[in-house]
Amino acid sequence: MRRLFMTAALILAMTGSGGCLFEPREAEKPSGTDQYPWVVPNVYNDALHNLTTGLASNVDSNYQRSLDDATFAFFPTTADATNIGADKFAGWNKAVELKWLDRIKTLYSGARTIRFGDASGNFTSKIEQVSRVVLEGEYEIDLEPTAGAPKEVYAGIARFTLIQGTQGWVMSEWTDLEASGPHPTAGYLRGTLRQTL
Amino acid sequence: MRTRIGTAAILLALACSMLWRTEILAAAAPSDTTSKTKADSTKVNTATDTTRTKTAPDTTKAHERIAPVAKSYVTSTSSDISFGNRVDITTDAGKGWTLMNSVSVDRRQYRQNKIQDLSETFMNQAAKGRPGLYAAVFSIGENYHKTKTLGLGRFGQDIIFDNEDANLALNYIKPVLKASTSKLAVAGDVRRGLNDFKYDRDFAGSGTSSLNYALSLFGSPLTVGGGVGGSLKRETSDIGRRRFGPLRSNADTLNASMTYGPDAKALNATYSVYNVLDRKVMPPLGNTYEVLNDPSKAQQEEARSRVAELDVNSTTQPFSFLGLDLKYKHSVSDSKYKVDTRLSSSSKDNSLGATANYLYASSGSVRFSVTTSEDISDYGPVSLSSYRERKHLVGVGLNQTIGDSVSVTANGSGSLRQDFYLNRVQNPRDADYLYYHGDVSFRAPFRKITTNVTMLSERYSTINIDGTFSGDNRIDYKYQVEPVITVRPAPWIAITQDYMVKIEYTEFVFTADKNYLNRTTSVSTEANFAPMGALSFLFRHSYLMRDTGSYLQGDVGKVYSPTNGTREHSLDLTLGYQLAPGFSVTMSDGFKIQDNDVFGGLNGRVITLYTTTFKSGGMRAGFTKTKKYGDYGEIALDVAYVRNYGPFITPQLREYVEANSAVTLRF
Repeated sequence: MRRLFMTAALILAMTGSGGCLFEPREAEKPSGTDQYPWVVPNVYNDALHNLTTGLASNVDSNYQRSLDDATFAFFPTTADATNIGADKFAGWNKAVELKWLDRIKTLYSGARTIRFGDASGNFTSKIEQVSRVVLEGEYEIDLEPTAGAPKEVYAGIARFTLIQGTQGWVMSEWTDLEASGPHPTAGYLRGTLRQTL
Repeated sequence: MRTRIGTAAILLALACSMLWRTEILAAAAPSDTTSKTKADSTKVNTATDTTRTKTAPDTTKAHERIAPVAKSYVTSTSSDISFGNRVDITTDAGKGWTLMNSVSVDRRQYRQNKIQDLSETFMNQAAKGRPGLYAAVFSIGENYHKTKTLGLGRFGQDIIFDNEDANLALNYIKPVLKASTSKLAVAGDVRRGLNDFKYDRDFAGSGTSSLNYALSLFGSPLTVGGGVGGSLKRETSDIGRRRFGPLRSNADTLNASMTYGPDAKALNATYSVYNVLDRKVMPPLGNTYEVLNDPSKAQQEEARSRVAELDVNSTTQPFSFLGLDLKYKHSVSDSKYKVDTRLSSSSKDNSLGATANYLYASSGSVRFSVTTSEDISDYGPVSLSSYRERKHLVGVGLNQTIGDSVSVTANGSGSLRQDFYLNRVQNPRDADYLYYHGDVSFRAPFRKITTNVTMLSERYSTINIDGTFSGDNRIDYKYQVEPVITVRPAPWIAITQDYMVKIEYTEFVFTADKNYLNRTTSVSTEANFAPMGALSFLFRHSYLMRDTGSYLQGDVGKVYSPTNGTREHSLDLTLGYQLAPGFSVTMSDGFKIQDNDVFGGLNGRVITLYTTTFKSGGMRAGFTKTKKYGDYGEIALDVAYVRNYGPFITPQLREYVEANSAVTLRF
């Protein structure tokens, strides 16, 4: 029993110490402010709004807090999986998405916008129940490599599943269904810019 | 037309199998004559029965030679209705030959979109083998798949994949060169067909060989193995009148492995290298829309990749109470793409890990683990995305049993991930991520009551180093306590109560005005009743209460100001009754109601400004029926009527029939 308490004390000391185990680097004082405020996600549209501002902003917190920790997954179209390689999409979860987001923000330092739904924000299909909504329709991502440069357009038709978790509404699944028009899909953007993890 | 051909093929296959079976049964005439005699006569004749017993094995042998199986199914879900047929015929042709024929037709109708998918497959395979010596397989087949596109520009058009394929594979498995096991395999494949926007013709060949030796060194077993392989492919693609190719692709691989020692004290090492050159025709940016109108926009991609991996791990148990595992992994990969240059990258990964299991008493053990790794991802000299990542992880776990039944489990871990961008001047996104986790669970059964308590604590820090991003630095906290009590007052009843209190909050280090807190409390009650063997009843009620708000620094410390609250009730009832073996009916009903409050301030007090209520639910009533007809087949039915309601539901989902039914016949 004595050994048990000693071991338990060691575990508590490790977990409760909160920072003494590792030495992270010191952060500099902030030199600017983020112009994209966080909207408390009380309805599912708030989560879509936070994802939009999270992509536009140079910092990631709005985007990161709008994806469900446990269930977020991205699924590509069959065509993208065939053309780019299914391995580029394997296990696409929140951690992979955030790494990809880092690379997007590095490569596209100009304006970044994302539109969920058609030009009026409508979806072709909506199934809404308590704590869960499934939206199906168009989306468009516009990215400028540098400020003012011609934008690259990524568009398609996708199914978005949003759930109301303990932290409010978050996105749980993004399933690309197919391309729409002459533009590459969000799956193409994700697959070609996946960072190793 | 294709459906008719598919259906005709199925009927033909069935007719052939019936004909074959008739011939076989005719060959077993004495048996049939005897059976007929028995059928014609109402008398029970002992002699006849004896004859039947004698001849029965002949009939069984005939059944084993050819085994046709036909399966038809209907599946109906909330999104689509599918139905299809499949016939498989396996024939033991004797002298080591096995023939397999398969035909299938599947059709899927989507509920929300007026579109259909159609798939048809046809496959013939002949295999011959001799155990311990060789195996040869030859197959020809066709796959057809048609679907409609909904995308702009191609709306309503068909996307068709239709490929014919012939394949020959030979495996020589008799050990050679004094090896314990060896394998020599060659394969060839010829294929042609339409793949959406292009028509491909290709032929491919491959050869692989491997040798494994089981030896002994200093009295301990030593296994050494290795293998090489290579493949090549030549493909020609036609897009409209434009021809690409022949495009040559090839790949080769080399691997070696070694294992030394028994399982409890072993050293394993494996090394493998892959080189791949892949050439193919691609639509521009992965989208076939433009290439259909202008085939000249098709691009000829050339991808070269090389991967080398070394894995070494060892397991030792120096004492009966102590086990040590060590793992080392090194991998290098490099890939270059001619058209999609963003896919080009090289990486180098190293990781080292150690785990110790210490059995400090017969009733308890503790585990310590340490892992460290460094990965470099390089996207080329001009890329700003190249970075180096370091990871350190420390973990500890404890299992302790107290007395006969009480058990305690505790786990703790800490990790630090550091991202260093190689061009930090132009891309100052360096960040550290610090994570701590601790959980304790306790389980105590006492007579008819079992108690489980789980406590969890997490702390995740995001530390952006540069001042441009450090305003986003934050710490996410999570605390959770979850006691679960299960009571079994009688063998036919079990009641479970699950409580959960969870507090999650985000604390921004520099910009405190973004701080945010969630408090969630829930209680769930579940009761299972099985008063009779055939009747079961499940009742589940959950209540969830959550409030959300800002968590800001005030004059007297941090002040929580709730902005929103949620109260949710959900109720589920399920009734099941088994009418007869293989036949049961079920009825379930679910209901959720959620009130969302928005808070405001009035004269220094928090008041509810308004409340929004959502309701949703549904019911499902159905039956399952399974019936086996001896060796001749079975019927499985699972049919239910479903009704749903909610704030917004499509008419297709509001009311539909759910089915998962199949009929299988064996001839």
